[in-house]
Amino acid sequence: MTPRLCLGLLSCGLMTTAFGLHPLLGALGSGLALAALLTTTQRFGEQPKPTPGQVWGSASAVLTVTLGALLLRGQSPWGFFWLLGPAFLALAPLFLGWFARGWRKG
Amino acid sequence: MSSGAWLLLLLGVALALAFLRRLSAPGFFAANHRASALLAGLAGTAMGLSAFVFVGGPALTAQVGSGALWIILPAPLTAVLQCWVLGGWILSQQPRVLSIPELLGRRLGSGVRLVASALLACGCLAGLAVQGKAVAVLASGLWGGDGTLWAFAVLFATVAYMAAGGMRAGLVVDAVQGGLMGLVALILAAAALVHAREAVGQVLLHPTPLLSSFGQVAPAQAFSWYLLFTLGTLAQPHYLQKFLLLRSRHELRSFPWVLTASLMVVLAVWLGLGLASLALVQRGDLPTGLGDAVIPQLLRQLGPWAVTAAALGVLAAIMSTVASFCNLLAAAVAYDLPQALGKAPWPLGWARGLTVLGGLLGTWIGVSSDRSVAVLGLLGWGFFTACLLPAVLGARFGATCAPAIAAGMVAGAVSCVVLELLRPSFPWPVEPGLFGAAVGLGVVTVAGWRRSRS
Repeated sequence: MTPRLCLGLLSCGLMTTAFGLHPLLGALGSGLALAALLTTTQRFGEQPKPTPGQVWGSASAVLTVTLGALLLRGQSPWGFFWLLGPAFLALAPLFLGWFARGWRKG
Repeated sequence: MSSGAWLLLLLGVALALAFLRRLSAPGFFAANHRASALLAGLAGTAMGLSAFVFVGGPALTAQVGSGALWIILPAPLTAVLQCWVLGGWILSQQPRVLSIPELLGRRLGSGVRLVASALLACGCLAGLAVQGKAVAVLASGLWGGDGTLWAFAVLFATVAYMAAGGMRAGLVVDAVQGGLMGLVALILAAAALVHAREAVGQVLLHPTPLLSSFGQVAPAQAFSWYLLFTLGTLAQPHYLQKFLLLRSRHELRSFPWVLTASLMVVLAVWLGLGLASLALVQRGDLPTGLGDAVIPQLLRQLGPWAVTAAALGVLAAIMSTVASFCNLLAAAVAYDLPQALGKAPWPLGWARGLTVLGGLLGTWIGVSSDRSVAVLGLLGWGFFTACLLPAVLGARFGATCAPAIAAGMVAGAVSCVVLELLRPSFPWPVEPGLFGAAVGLGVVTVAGWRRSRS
């Protein structure tokens, strides 16, 4: 895998999300773009950088919450305000913890 | 009165800092690279968050419901993402760079630096227009009087110390403003939610389409906002500027913590004012169809103290962002353009003049525009994402050659503008900023691949 291939995948993810033909495509495009960008950073960047597990963990976490929003879109206000909003907030300590772990390794 | 006193106090402190020692280019454009993580983090948050957070965002939430919150949902991720993807790279440059076009030019040559500085100057003018428009809307709604006069008064107070002391003065003032914004944001959010507690309770307990996962925003549009404001933080020059100010790579260790905490504290105002105004509009306590003016109306209901507090917070947000854009604009024109053309950078006197001139022009464009603060803000953010994301990532990962990067930047900017013009004719939601970035990255990838084969 080369940086060009990763950036090409990122471009595909951006394009899929930019043209909102279908919500599912938008969610998958977001996940693809984030995974491609973090994979590029993990493979070709300097420290601090994420580990492979953190790359896929980040992309999966974001994809889970965005797909959850699609599934729960009829459940107002419980779906978004009581479930998905706090889930997004809970990602902050997760990502910060991963960054700190990566820094110690670097 | 208190807003005027605040302006004068900041002006005095900043001018004192500006004239404390003789300035050089590193001092004017990058505060001599001496900022700690705390100072640069607070200043960076103040520079990054603007009137859009205090006015446009909450007003958008009142109009379209929770769909608008997808713009701020990237907040838990963006600081870590910036430090992972770009922070280590920018801070490993030796000697340290003073501007983003210089960073790109060092890797890819003067052609890329030339294109980057020209596009960055255009984008900074658009950014200044958003701030000018926001002051005009808020001033006429909150403080009374002519909004245009207020816009130019705030601009002059800011450019006075930025022209005199550049980022050396701006860093300290921006950090103070960042702290003040956080305090005001928490107080206003809490007060608004307490004031509207019954109405908020009603909308939070009973089903309403506005508080579904996407509100009145199409789900695909919400996802495109989410991605635009996640990856867009890697391409906003006023977001990247904070890395130029940091004193060393070691400061990166605590940087994302400062950035994330301060960002989430300030964004409380978006959630608090947005939810309260949405609930009050639903109950009929605030009129519908006010657009951006719904927030000044809500603040007036909270009382005179809230208007004063909001004035301080909003002035801090606007002045810090204006300061950053003026400085970036001056760097692009007086420092980068001449060097990209093989000449010596212009003397600091020219940079000072450009700080004033750029600020004036941007404010004039903003107060002359009929578009809402939210729309102008999205346009400015999208433009930077479209033209700078391909360049920054292409240069960061050494993925391609200079002509491909320059072509990617231009293709991204043009695609973004063209799609923005064609947007009303599309039957489904499209996001010009993301589209431009995708086209730009596509050009960078394909051109780099063809060159490597040949």
